[in-house]
Amino acid sequence: MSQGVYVETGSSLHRLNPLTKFVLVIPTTLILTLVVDIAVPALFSLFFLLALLTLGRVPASRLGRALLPFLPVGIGLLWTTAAFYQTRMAETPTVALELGPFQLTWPGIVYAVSIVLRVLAIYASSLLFLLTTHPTDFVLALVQQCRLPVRLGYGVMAAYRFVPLLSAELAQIRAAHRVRGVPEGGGLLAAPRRLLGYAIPLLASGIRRAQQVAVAMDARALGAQPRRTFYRRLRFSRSDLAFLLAYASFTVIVLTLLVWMGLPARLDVFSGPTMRR
Amino acid sequence: MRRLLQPWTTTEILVVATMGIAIGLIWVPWTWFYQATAAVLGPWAAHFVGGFWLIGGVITPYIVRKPGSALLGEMIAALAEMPLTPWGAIVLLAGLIEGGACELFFLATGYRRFSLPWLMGAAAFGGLAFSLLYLYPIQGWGRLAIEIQILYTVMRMAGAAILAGGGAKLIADALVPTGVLDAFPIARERRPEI
Amino acid sequence: MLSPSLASAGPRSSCEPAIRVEGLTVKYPGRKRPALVRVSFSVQPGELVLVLGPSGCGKSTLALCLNGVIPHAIAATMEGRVRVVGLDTRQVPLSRLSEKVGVVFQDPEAQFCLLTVEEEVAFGLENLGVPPDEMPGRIAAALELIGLAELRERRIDRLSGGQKQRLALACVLAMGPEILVLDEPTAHLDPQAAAELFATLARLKAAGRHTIVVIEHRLDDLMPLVDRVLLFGPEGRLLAEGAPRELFAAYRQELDRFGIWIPQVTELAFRLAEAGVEIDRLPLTVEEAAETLAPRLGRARRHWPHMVDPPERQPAVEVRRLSYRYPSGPQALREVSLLIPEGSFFALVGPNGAGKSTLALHLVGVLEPPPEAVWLLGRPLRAYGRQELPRVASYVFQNPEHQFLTSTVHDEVAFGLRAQGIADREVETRVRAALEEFGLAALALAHPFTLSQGEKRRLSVATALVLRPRLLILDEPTFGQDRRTTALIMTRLRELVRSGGTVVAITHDLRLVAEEASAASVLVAGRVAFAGPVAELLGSAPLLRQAGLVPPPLVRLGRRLAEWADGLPPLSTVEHYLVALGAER
Repeated sequence: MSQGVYVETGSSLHRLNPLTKFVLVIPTTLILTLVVDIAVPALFSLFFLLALLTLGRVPASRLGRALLPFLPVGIGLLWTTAAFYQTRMAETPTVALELGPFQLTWPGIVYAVSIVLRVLAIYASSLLFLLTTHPTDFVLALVQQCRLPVRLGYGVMAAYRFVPLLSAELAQIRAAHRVRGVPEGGGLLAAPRRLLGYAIPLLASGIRRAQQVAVAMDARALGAQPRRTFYRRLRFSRSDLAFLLAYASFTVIVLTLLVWMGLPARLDVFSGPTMRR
Repeated sequence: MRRLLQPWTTTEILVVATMGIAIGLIWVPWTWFYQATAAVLGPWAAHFVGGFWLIGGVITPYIVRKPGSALLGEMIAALAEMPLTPWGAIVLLAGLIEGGACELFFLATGYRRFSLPWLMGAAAFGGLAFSLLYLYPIQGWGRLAIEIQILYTVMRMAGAAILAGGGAKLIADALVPTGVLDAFPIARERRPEI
Repeated sequence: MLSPSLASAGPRSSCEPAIRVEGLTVKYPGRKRPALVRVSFSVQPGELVLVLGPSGCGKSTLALCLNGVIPHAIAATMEGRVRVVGLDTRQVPLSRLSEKVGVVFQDPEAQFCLLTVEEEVAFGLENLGVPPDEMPGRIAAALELIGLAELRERRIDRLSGGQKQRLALACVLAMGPEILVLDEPTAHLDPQAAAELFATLARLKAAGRHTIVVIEHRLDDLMPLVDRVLLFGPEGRLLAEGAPRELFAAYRQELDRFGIWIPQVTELAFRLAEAGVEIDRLPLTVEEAAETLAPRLGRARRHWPHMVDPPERQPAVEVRRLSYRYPSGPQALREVSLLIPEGSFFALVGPNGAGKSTLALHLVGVLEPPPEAVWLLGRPLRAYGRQELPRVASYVFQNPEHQFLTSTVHDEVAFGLRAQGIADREVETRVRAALEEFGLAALALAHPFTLSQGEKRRLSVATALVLRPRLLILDEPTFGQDRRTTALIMTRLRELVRSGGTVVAITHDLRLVAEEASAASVLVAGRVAFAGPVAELLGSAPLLRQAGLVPPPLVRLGRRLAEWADGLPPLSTVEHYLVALGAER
């Protein structure tokens, strides 16, 4: 729970600097946001998922489990985008499917598929980061490489330790409330009240503990000295460079292919001209 | 101005971080509630539900009242949520936009106004920013029918105002009597010396 | 009759004291009353000083003043002066002070920020700007000192509570302080882990390199190390200081009144002295008590008055071959069968993670047992309705806060009564009576979360007892409680048992077991390792070890005395000793 989808395999992907893996999400998101296409996001997804299976030695089952939650998201997005698609002027609104009040047109379906693949590829790019990076290492890298203020970085790390504690405590609180005869479940009005009944003791104990940790950290001179050293240094190594180069070459190849296949028509910034229904 | 530039203490950072992480964890099941709403009632209702994602940018400033707390609270919540949702690292961008917008809103008030309408206003402003800067480019709203675009954006803002703005007030006000916030402005303004 | 001899006040030297506090007054913003009032004392290098006081007397504030967190990091107004190894805490920056004074806090879950043991020890060194190549040596040395060297690369979340507290100690030791301050370091530990921490402390004290200030309420294993005691009163004033033997004798009434624990053998000596047994030297440890009492054994009674066996009664609880596995978790219970007689005080003991709470949660239906596996008062638990069960069986959780549902103490007690549909007039009468009985009447309108630890515990027991349950289960009811709260709760539980109710206590506190329980069961790894009379459990050293329990001081004393006097029955409570030694009365 505390590490979410993180899988410890100690692979070469794990040993990369967290920022190397994180930074890839940004150009990937940018490129994919500008391109409306099916092949490009599909290729990007493939790149990241294959890297995880091979370089990251992440078992296929764990990768599958990490991808599973995307399924309902993808289906929901597919349906709503296709259903509310506004056909553009240059397109012929061939109706592919009629479902009650909704008309699904071919251009709409193609567009919806490309949007779903876009979100999938963005998700896959972050899976590369999430499956192989412990959150604490990420914050440590932000402190060491991005000059995130020391107090803030270590404060976030300390608070992150509360995640398993909070979920254990939530289980205790639920059991305790049941013993006192507070019914589980309940209607639309009872449920939020009951949830608030869980949230307040949980937050109160978290906040109290947070203040104790803060005192303990102050007592160990956190941020009391401007000059701070690091026991474990996260560095950029040659493998970081190699991985970034591999990513860059992949991107260049994909984009070249795209231009070659006639890119300009597919650029999409915000909206194109639409035809009113 | 000096009031706005006081340095953060470790205690303030830890409390904001803990609030952020707790909120991030609440967002994980909320994701499924959001999906379920979309499936049952349709995306317009889901966007109302999605307004709750602004709460991190409202509740922490309401408690701590220090510049940066909106951005920080929302970003840390996004960081905590990141490994557990089907959105991936992109939620950090979402957090940046939502938290940043709330931050600008509170800064514009000089970090002085924290009654319910202002909290709701901050959340709604964050919802607007999120629609324009995130949902349009990422989910390609530009090609949806214009009525739908307006409906979605308005639902986002309304959901933010009610669920995030109102929710932040409800939760924080319920926390004050427990005494754990005694060191913070939210408790000091309403409790006499004890 | 009672003639405490004056013990030496520990190593004294003429050089500058390690700690000198002069006229220290501390006030937190938003509080009318200061936390500490004009406190002055000093501590010599190499001394170990024990700080005692009722809860909320400013002991923790004192700890924070000693290492400069007050006034440097916490906004509180501080008057007077604190000097540590010659440095004025107000004038020297926190980074410098943290090299001189290290503090260990009470909650093992609230002291760390990193992932692994070595990184956590390194954290303080990093903050001081120690060069990275010096760190491995200092980390290894600190871990060696507290006996965690093997766990250097272990993740902190895999450590036990006791290991975490020792890690916290290593973290401050690595920074090289001359002064160690420990603020209730065993408050969250089971007895075995506490014993290990005290053993570590004994090694540190023997090495003689540190001046140590300990705020603590578990004194039995600590006393051999203590040179001097500081006693604080409830208003944040220093009431007395002196050698422990003197101070316990001279301030016995105050210690009683404030509900402060004293060593069990000391308490025993007071009670024996009252009963006419001659005590020439007030004992502080089991060894001393054995020496003091051995000469009195000649007249000791060898035979117990015949105990009347309680009449056979129907079982309050019957568990039949109950097994349970948590979803995606370990097998918590394996074919557990158990009989708990009605009208008894029953103790459920065993090491952490043995399945005690899992079993207990089945008895109140939070975890649903298979049909026929759990019987309550002659009916299968499954036959009770959702609304009916809370009226019959109550459960008091270890952390009282988890159970609180309302925003005032009054409503908290009234909640269960109102849920049963009892008329408002009667609710009011019963709530008022309960608040009175538990010493909470003055706090009726306070928010439950703002209470002290002892008040919270009393409130949680009151919310359960006001419903007059037939079965009451308590998870660690005495854990971390002061003497007054413990005594009050025990009185109420005894009343419940006397009126035919059944009490089941999950506990590590063998003193509680020895004094209150008639029967006990030991759970080890989800199986029943023992079920029977308490005397049998206390008499079996292997069984206690298996259960992760440390024999309480009076049991250990009884064993020592039995070596001197053949045929002495096993003694485990004050009452036993009174019968055995105070017979002439």
